[in-house]
Amino acid sequence: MCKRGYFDEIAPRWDDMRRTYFSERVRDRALSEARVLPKKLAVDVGVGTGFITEGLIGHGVEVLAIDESLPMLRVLRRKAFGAAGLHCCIGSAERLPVRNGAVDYVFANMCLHHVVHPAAAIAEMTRILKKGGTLIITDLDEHTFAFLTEERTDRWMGFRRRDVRTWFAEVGLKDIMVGDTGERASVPSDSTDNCADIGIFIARGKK
Amino acid sequence: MKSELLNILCCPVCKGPLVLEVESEEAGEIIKGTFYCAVCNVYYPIDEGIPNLLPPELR
Repeated sequence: MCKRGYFDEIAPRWDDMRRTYFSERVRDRALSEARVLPKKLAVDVGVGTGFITEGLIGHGVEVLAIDESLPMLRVLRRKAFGAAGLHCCIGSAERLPVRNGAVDYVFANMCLHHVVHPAAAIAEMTRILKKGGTLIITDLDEHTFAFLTEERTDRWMGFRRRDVRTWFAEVGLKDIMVGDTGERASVPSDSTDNCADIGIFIARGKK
Repeated sequence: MKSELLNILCCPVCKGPLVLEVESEEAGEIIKGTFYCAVCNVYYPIDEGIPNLLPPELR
């Protein structure tokens, strides 16, 4: 199954799946690292059904939620979190349809390991930030669980934190921090008894 | 989709401005319409109130 087909198919079940994969504490860490303020504007890239967006809306932040999967966005909008400040758009992390310097925060949770060119995606996310804006990426550490690329259509088997730091520096981000969330992702195989157990890193940079 | 979104959206390919054409609207929300990029000569559909701004080759 192609990547978008996979996400379209799992969209109605994604919230239940995600709960077993990783904890809400990943979101708490991402929001606290960004020090989000009400009435600011965020883009949530690869939003899925709104794991990060739900927290942003709860903090009074206006969100443009971007994903390649329309069924994911439908689920997100149905939940909506009672928000007038939620906007949805089908788009690609590597070709964001957002103007230069338009937003205060960009978040990408568990998105980077699905893109073709991670460094290009980070450059795009940085391009749309206002000067002083904050980019927060939470994703998987480098791992050896190859079944994730076959069963879950992952493109990258996680990342080395030093590579993420280099990509942030290459696009001119400052105040860079790449560290541990203290959380792990636990993802079972559909076809074997194997279960991936992978650290989750957080990366922050300011434009 | 609210029309104010036009202030931050752009063409995903050339990053230029988009022209909004509204076909149907409900309670201040655009339900159906198109975005048009004159530079790329590409139309991007808005259906169910959600714009599809994937580059043409990724749709």
